[in-house]
Formats: sequence, C-alpha cells, structure tokens
Amino acid sequence: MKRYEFELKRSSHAVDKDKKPITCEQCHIPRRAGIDYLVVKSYLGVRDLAVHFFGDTKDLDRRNMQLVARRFVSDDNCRQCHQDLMLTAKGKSISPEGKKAHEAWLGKDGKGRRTCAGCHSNMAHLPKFDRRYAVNAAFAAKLPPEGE
Amino acid sequence: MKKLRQFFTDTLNQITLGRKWLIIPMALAVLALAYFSYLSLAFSGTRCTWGQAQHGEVTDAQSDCYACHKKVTPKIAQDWNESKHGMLLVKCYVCHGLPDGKGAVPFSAKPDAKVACQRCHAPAIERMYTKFGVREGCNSCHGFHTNSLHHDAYAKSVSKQKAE
Repeated sequence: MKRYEFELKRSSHAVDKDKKPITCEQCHIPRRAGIDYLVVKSYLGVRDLAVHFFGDTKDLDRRNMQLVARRFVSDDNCRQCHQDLMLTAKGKSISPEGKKAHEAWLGKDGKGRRTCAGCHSNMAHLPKFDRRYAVNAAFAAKLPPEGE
Repeated sequence: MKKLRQFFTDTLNQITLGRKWLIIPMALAVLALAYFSYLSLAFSGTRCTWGQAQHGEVTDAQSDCYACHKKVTPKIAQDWNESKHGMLLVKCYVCHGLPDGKGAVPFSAKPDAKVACQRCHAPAIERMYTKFGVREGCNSCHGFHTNSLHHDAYAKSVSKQKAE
C-alpha cells in the first residue's frame, strides 16, 4: 500500500483545488451510503486483509491490475470534483478532441460509455512500464527513476 | 399462483425432510449467489462497453485518426507510433476500417484477428502453423500495438521470450 501512497502524493491528484490532501477512499469507495457502499467496502476490506496476511504484496501484477482498475474507481467520485466536463478542474476550457470524447460519454454524441478511469488512466498511480508515455512525462519526472 | 406456492413449499419440505439444518447451507448458497451476481453486475469485467462516438461527423479528419487519438487515447496512439506498424505507417484503417463504413475492412474497435492479420501475414502464419501450430488470437503472443523494433521499451512479447 505504501507504494501507491507514495505515487499518489506526487501525482496531480495529491491535493484538491482547496489544497486539501485527497485520500484513497475519496476515489475508491462509492460515496453514496447504500448497497454499493456496503458491498464494495466489505469486499475490498476482506480482500485487503486476505492479501495482507496470506498474499505477497510485492508480487502484484500491475499490468493486469490496470486492465480492471476502472472497476474500482466509481464515476460518481470523479464527478464530485469534476462537475463540468467541458472545463478542467482549474476552470479552463478543454481541447475540442476532449469535448468530443466527453460528449460521447454524456450520451450526446453516440453512446461511448466507458467509465472515467477507462480512458483516464495513470491519474494517481504510475507503474514503471507506463512512465515512457509522453502524457505521463510530468508525473514520471516527480517519481524516482529507480524502483517500482 | 396458489398451486405454484404449494408446489414450492412441498418440494422444499421434501428436500429438507428431517434435515432441518439443510436450510442453513441453502440460505448461505442463495446469499452467496446474490452477492456474487451483484458484484459481477456492478463491476463488469469488460473494460469498454463499446458503443462508438459518432465518428462520421468528424469530416475534416476522416482518415487521420492519429491526430485526434493522440489526445483522446494517448497511450494506444503512442504504442502504435513506436511499434513496427507505426514505423512502417500501417495506419489505423488497415485493420480497424474507416468510420464511414466504406472500403473492404469493416469499422471496428476490435477487429477479428483471423481476418485482419491474414490480409498481410498469411504466408508467415502458414509457416508458423507448420512449425509451432497456432494459438487462438494473434494478440496473446504478438501484441498488435506493442510489437516494437526495440524491445527495451516494452515487456517482451510472448513470441520473443525464450522458453524457460
């Protein structure tokens, strides 16, 4: 878990726009108190305990974890801060390509319904094999070149 | 309705006849099934429920997928750009087709590997088949986008790893 915390603190999602630190559960646990919350909270809790005591935390396959990562980031959580999808978090207008893609997500243009994390990967965590990507250059520069 | 309920209770009674403890594992099984089905429905395994954005409206960039996808899907675009296919300018539409639906290749985010690869690699596939046999889906060994000339950039694809 320390590795993920280390990466989060150096990512663009380290603090929100009021400079308050963003914590794990703000993204990974559904916000609405309901059956989603209960099921996800209990499932992740039991799994974390099981891995902590019986599994090898050093041996996590991040390449394969990334393929299912979007299942553990609820769209509602992203929308808590990113309410207007045509603006960045700092209030600037996004690129025309981005607008097109977000319109598809909203269902105005076609019906491309991936989840937020399906397109926006490496927002808070950056495994070593993703550091070569040009989009991740700013994030990768903040992480030490050696180590995971 | 009444008959159905009667039938249901009768069967349940017959199963648990004299074995009342059976009701506990049965209840547990039902609960487990409900829990599992909820989890699998709420967090489906497919990465992308594929419905297309309306590409047809992007008239100025009909065949230049890369210009837009460099921003919209940057990782996939860079993978392609650094791969053998990118270096030889085997462009997106060769395998994925064009969004207007014209041309021989159907427009698809996940092209059929058998058809798409056969178009160019038929002789090589035949040679490989006689030597090693063929596994389902070319992508599991030869990454479509990540098949690079310089293998330091990627984890080696399965086809390039030595048998250990």
